[in-house]
Amino acid sequence: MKFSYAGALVALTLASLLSACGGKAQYTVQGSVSGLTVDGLQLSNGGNTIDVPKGASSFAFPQQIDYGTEYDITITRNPDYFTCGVAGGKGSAGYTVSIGAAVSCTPNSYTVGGTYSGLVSVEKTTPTDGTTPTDVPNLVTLINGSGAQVQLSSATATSGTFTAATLTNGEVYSISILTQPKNLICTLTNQNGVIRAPNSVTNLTLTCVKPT
Amino acid sequence: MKNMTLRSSVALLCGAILSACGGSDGSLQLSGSISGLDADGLELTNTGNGEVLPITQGLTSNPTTSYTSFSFPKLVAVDEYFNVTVTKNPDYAVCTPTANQGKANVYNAYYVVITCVAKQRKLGGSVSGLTSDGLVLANGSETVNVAKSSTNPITFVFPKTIGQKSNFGINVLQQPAGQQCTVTKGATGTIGNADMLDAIEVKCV
Repeated sequence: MKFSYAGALVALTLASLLSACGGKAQYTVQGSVSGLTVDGLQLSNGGNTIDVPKGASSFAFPQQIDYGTEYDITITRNPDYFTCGVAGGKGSAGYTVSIGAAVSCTPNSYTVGGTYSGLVSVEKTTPTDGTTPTDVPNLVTLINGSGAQVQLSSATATSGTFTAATLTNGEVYSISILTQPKNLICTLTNQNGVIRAPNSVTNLTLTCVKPT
Repeated sequence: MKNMTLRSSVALLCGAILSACGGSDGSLQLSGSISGLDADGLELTNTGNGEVLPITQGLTSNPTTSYTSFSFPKLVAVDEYFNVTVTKNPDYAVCTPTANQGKANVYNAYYVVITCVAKQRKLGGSVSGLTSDGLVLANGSETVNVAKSSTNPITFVFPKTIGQKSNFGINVLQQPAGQQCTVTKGATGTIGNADMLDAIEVKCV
């Protein structure tokens, strides 16, 4: 707060100095960029637009604005399969010494999953207090290598859908069965592939059967 | 809130009792957060007063300590020097304290940070019978290309290291031209306390 006040004061002094010479303080509408690893980002301020290339760590609009002019930096186009946001993108030129918005971009995430079936309980509890035996949950664990891990349980449902990993466009997935359920053998199909946005992967099938 | 009030009153009372006996007149519970920890073995020591705190699952001493947060049972006084150090690491990780020392006050005594990072290990293996190019093996989202070579078997290592205690699962992501490869050993496993350069075996026909 103290800083912006001081900044405003400096800006005011600067502005008055400049206007004394017949000029007017000019401000660059600019900021920092993070996480932009692909092309396609377009920013706008009022009627002005700029394209920000991949790898950029900063941006600046070529058109400077006068002291007191309102600015409002918005994202008019996200890069494909990325979502960007602006912090501190709105204000009045001269309120701070310089304009410093922060644009940050993150890749969209897509799920890898499918359906499972045959995950039944194969044993009952043996209560000693006379209560009715209940099904012992039967579990199977899926992993995406050393990454995501998910456990499916017969107690939730013997069949249904599952999500094994959440990844970004272009990433490889390769799902394995880490632990088999008790007295069942599960097999997995379509477990390998590459994420092709905007589609999530839903074609994995995990089939569990009693050994013959 | 009620709990907090209760706790502070208990703390105050404790302080009063202790100072009456000439003990510590502390009012601050030296505490903080832990990240990256999921097994026993970490031990913290406040070298300021010599108190030792093992971080153990299910430890429900007063105050409660878990894998994600800790509190030293002994209270420290305002302006009392504290220095939380790692005196034992869990065997799979190295833990580092930050914001961990100073003269105690309400702004620093509750905010010690312990960050644990698993020891990084290499994972690899060998491929036998490979006579053409194109084989790609995957451990989840990490891949390694294995090209044909005059040696048999051909060894490979995944480019990215893996934290000790992590699981792994290996699949053939892409078969070499005209051949069929299968993972015959180490299709799934857990990273141990050393590099695992011959954990995986792949046979191609």
